[in-house]
Amino acid sequence: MLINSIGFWIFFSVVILVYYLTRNYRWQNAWLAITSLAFYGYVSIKLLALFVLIIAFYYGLAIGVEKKKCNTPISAKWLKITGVCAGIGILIYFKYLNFFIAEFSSLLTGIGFTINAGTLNIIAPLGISYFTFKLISYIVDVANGKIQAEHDIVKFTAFVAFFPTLMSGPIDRATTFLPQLNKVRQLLPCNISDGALRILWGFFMKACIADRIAPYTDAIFNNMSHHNASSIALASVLYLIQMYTDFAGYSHMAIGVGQLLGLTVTENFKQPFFAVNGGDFWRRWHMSLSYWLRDYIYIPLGGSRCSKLRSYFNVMVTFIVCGAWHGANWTYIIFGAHHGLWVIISRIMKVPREKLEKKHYSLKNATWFKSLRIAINFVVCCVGAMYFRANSFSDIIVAWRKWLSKDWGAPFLEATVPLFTFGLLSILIMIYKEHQDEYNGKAHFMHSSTKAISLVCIALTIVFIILTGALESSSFIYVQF
Amino acid sequence: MKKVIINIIITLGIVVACDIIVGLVGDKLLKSTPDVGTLQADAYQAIFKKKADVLILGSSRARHTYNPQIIADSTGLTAYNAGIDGHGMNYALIVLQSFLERCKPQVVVLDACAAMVTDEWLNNSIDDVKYFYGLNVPLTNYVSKHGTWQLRTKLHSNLYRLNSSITWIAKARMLSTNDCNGFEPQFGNLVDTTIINFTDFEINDIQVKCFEQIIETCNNNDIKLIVYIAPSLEVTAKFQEWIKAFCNDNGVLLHDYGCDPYFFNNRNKYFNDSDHLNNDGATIMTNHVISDINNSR
Repeated sequence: MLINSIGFWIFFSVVILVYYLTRNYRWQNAWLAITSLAFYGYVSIKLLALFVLIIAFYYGLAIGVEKKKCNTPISAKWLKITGVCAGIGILIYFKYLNFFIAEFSSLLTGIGFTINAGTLNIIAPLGISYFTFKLISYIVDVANGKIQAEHDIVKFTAFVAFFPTLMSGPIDRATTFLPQLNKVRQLLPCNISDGALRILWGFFMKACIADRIAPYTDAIFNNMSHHNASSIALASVLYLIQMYTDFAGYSHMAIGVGQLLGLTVTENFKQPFFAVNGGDFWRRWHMSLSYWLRDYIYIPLGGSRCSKLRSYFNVMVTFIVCGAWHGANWTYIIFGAHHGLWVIISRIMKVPREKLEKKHYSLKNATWFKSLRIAINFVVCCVGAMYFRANSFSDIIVAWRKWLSKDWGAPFLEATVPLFTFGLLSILIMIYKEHQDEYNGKAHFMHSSTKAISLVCIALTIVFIILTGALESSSFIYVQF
Repeated sequence: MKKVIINIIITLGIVVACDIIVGLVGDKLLKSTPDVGTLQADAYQAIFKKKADVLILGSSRARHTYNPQIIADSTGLTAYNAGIDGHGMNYALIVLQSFLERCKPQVVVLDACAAMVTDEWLNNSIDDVKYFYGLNVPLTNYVSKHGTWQLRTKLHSNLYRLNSSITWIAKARMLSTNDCNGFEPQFGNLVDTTIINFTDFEINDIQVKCFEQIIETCNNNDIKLIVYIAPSLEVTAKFQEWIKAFCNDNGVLLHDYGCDPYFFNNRNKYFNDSDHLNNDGATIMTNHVISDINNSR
């Protein structure tokens, strides 16, 4: 049941109706937990029991950590390590075991041993990457005293299984989410209008941009060797936009649904295409994951409070984990390493850039200089998008061979009329809106302070989506993770 | 809260007004779509405009195989090729029923392939011609009978019905008029002449029911129905067995050129790709149809 399907909205209508009829926060939490588990069960009934078991395990573990913390801190530490290892173990078993088996067997074959290692028939639980990260951060925060262990299992279930973010994030933290469940949520007019507008904008991004681009990028990336360098370059640019609009579209909808339920969900994107370097990009792109990685991997490794070389190593490890989090494929690890390298280069370049800006003071505020930095960052991210989308490592080699060859003819443009009409127009609308959001503090477009402009913009956005969007609800890229 | 409700009503009011305006303008533009040979323009011609003595139905294989001009020149009967890429028996039925609202053809040539009776193309017929919902009775009846409730609900909106239509309507207006009567010749020559055998074949009940309705409609209107399987290097033996039995049971004439040795032995000469004949192959195939039409008269 995807968030952009009619089924979801019928389900959500029932949820919200009962949710606001119950005027007690405990009942609201119970209803949220029941419907979230029902949602999970509807999508994957076989793995519901496992999901409930995992929730119960972490619930008990966190209480154990809290109890031991005062009397026997060493035991608490071991319980924390158990929680972290259990989370990683779940991820490794369900997402990476087959990958490791295949890679190990090919390694042995490479050095002359012939083994017949089959793969295991493992079905990964839905949203595994999201809820395990939620649970790991919860157990670490409890152990570190940032938050108290949750003793109300219903509330804890509502937090872990919260259905709008269950399949594709954002990865909420217990520190910000659980306190919201301690008071009764009321249907406020501002929540209705803000939530509805977020959902509408999410639909726009998904239907009018991401799903318009998808047929083109699929055609190129699924048959890379048959296309020339310019087609692959165009597909890489479009895939970065598709990735963003698909995932940010989902995030907007999830945040909007959260707002309608009176809950604030973590923001996931902040105009990433206006980032000027690698670090800036990851402060704007998939923020709930990047901040998670910062807090639970980068900083524990030593962060930047160590030698430069060591901090670069920490960055690289963090980004390789970031890549691997997406799935068991070398392409994702290369994607992570590529971004890690770009963040390191951005850091190295910081000193000469600042020197240059001191020498030529006008550079610091020059629009062309900033635009150049934005453009360079965008191109690097497009290459990263190619790594992300490539079906295999050999496809990455194919792409680079083509880019380095003289195979730069006219790009493949067959059957692209809807993409280069509706899709392009929608991309321009999105860039305009994001530009305004980034540089113009004033409320505009659907949020305009002039009521008439705001209402007309909302109505025209609805009309535009229905008239030009790719409306057959398709899956989201990040649901597979 | 009162303000929010008023805002919602105003927004919905604007959307409904836009829906009505888009519906009126869109229908006016649809009804003046020129005959330019693009997929949707041809669908419009087949469903609303054309009249012919010989009506050719089917998928892209029909579209690229049977030349109405040669049929008209040789038999003296007017012909129209209503074959469209990726469409099954349900679309063929809608076209036939729409045709009968204007004229009664003497012969219906139906080119069948495996995908036309499986669920592979089941939804294409609605997706590609949903613009005509409410304007065409057979299509509207088909959607009422076989469409999901979600689809029926959404099709009440003109905006949804005309979704993505602006590009093809505009494109049709920029192209010059085409007089091929639905036929689209192909001029390539096959490079890879490998024969591909498909083993999966599972009929779809709706598609088969539509096939039966085509037969029934032809019988009731005294129209001669001839079913063909055009040559193809993509062979589904199970389908060929099934259709032989089906046509036999329903008393329909079937000419199976699917694995015809003459076409197979000259496949690099007569095929454009593994599933479609080129213009030379199409001319030979059209001559077979002409002799069958002449024999049946």
